[in-house]
Amino acid sequence: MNQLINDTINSFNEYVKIIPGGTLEISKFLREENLPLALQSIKDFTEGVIWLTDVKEALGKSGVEVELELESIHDFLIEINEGLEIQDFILVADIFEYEIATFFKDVAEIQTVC
Amino acid sequence: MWKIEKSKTKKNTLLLNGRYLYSRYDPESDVAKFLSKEIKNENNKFLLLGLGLGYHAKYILDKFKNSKIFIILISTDEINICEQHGMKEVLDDKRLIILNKNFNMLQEDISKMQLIVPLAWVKAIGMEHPLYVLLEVIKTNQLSFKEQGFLMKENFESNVKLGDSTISKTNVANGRAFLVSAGPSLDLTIKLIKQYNNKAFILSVGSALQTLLKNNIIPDAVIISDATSRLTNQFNYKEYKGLLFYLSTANHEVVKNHAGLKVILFQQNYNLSEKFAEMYSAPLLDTGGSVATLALSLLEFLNFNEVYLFGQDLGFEHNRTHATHSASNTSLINSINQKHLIANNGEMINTRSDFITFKYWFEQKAITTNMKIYNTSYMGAKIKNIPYISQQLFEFHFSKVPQKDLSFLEKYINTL
Repeated sequence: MNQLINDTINSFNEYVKIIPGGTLEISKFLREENLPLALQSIKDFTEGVIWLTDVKEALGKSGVEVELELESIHDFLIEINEGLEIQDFILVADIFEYEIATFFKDVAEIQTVC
Repeated sequence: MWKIEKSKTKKNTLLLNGRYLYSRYDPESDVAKFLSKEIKNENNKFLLLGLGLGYHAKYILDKFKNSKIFIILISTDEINICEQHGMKEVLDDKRLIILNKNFNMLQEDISKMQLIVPLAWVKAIGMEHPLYVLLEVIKTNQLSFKEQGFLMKENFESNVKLGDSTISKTNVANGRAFLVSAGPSLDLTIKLIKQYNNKAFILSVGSALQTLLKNNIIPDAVIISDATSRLTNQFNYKEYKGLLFYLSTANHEVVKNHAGLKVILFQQNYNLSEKFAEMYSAPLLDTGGSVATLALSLLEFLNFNEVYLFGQDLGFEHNRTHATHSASNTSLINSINQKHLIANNGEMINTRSDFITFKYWFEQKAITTNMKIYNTSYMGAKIKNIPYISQQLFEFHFSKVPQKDLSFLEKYINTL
């Protein structure tokens, strides 16, 4: 059981680590007006956040506390959605580059269980 | 409509109609990221949409000492905004020329300039702005080329090696043509195509072919233009072995695998195609940005007197964009491009930016062409200068029309 939990924690940590690079890439695509790649990457990012939320909940049930406050990300996602609706791609690029990338850079790793 | 805000770097940023034109964190860096990718170094003359706070102009003037920038203003307020809140030094730079209302460019050759149209500006100016439609058309074409440029070049180079036939100009006048596209209204009007298929030349776009074949209608020709592999789902070359018109940059795999007669078409405003067409004295067609607009250019070239548009909806009820069985049938969920238009039935329908640009192209073509064009789509967008034709009137039009004669095609199709 601990092995499964540790594998999940490792996947969680690995994924969180690559998010800032990914969100900077999204912002770059948006600023360079490469919309197909930007929109596909935003979709992937949204799915990634859903996965993080599910994992956080599952780990919580196994007694592993995850301090990552995903609620803030959900607020960003709402703002991103509003930006996309009015096609304000600069606003969306800003959120990815200056809010979300910064948020994930500071996330501490979850320690594996013994 | 204009709003100035202080960015995190203390430089001003600008909003137009509630949308940011520059980053609210670092406007200069935002502009640099866009322009460093956008500018092709061989150009030193630029035609730039929007002055705003002058960040785009400043970047170009600093980076390219021999540059000259012509600015198209969105509104005359921009000069005051730039002077009071932006990079006002650009206004004193002799290399920057603000165009007057008539876009008088002092006899400059526009083809030697790089046109810079930031997407954010096109989205922010709003549909009511007199330049909106034109700028949408330009931007859509620019983005499509940016996305598919490499693929187009690859396809072009492979397609011209196939040695297929092309078309040449004659004065043979032709009768009626059906231009069949894959909009949802095709499901309702296909019975007319079936009933009168022996009275008009049927030209189907690739994505409508399956719908026609399922209804036991074999078109006289199919036309394709998509450079991407999406085309492999649209065009079933196993079931259809008839005449195929293809754009020089269309997906090579699909073109190569077609067993029937193939005719290559060359487009305007694409350097490789223009050079090749000149070399072989082949005509250049205005693509208009979609396969249906290309098809109408072709029908015009083939001297048809009357064209009846089928499935040319340019919009959709709910989220359904294409006819049943069409290879492009999709449900458009959470589209970021959704807009609204008046349909021929008087109702408001959903549409997308690209459809609006095609609508504009059709409207302009209808003014300049000698062809009479009719639209059979009652639920589709109202297209100015292309009247809706009811079933009753359609049947009246065809009541005394002789059987079609396709022998004219031989006169137009030439080997390269």
